[in-house]
Amino acid sequence: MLLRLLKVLYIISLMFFLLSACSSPALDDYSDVQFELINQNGETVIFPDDFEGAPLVMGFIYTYCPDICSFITANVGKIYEEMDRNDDVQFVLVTFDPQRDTPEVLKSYAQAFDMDRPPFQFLTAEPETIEAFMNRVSVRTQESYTRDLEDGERMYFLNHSDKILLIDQNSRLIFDYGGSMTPVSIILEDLEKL
Amino acid sequence: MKNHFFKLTFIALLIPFFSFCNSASEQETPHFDLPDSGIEIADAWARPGRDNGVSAIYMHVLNGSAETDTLIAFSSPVAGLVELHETYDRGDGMMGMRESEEPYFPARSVVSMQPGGLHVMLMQLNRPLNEGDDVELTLTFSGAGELTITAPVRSPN
Repeated sequence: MLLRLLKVLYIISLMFFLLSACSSPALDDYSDVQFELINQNGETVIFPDDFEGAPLVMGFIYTYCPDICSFITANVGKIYEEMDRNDDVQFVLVTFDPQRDTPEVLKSYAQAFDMDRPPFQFLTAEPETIEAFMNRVSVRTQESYTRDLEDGERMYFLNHSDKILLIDQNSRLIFDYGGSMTPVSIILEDLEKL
Repeated sequence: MKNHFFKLTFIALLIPFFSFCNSASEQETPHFDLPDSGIEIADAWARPGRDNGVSAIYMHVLNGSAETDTLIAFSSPVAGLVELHETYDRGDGMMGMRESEEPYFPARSVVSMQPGGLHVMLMQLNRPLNEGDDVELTLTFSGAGELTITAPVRSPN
């Protein structure tokens, strides 16, 4: 009797595991919000309206970040280079340092990474818009190390979340990855499921 | 027989879990042969950076001497400011960065400066650093003296 009960529980667990591996329930839904952002070419884009209809890979960076953000940027680029599907997947990197990351600064940053080209967009906005946007997508920042320069300028660095999001064609958040740490192959596999 | 089947299925279910954990772990340090004496630098490279922006140089520092050495100065013709920094996991979901307070290189050992950890930070770049460029960096150690290296610029990963 006990053995039969254990077998039933085992089969239920197995089915649950297999089902959870095949489906991707949404973690969040951004279809109820609207943010006006600006890309590296100075063009206005609305999130999520302008991105609906195709999957979206979204990373978060600031261009004065010396280490982690360059790997988030490179990972987003690598996902595009290595993906098999030949369709309209969109790739964006949004700054959480709008005071310094103007469209012009984002453009020169994109050029250094050979990503100032479709399908990549680097986005900024007014500081209050970026603050609201980062709150909505749960990206946290905090000023950390600062340095006063000889020319009177103040250089600052930020502690920040390390993440890349995978958003589906209906503006639903499907996966929330460690941006610089998650192997690109895993994100590519998840992208294939959308 | 049935118990054997259950065991095998259970192990098969665990394989993807452990393979994910392994792939997300930190990078491994490659093996290097230490020099007979002094300090050598291996596999130095720099990540791209924009004009007036920042970049970082990564490398392996091989201390072949019998004594701990200390990095006391850095300079690069492409940067107004050069410092040794460390990225660290704050444990609260955020990544942090701090100036390294102990640039010590123990005797007969390798210290790796890798993405997500220790790195030489280049600030106030006076030109863009694009893939294919070279960056010169001069490191001054208290024991080994001055060492100038050339780091190729390449995209991360």
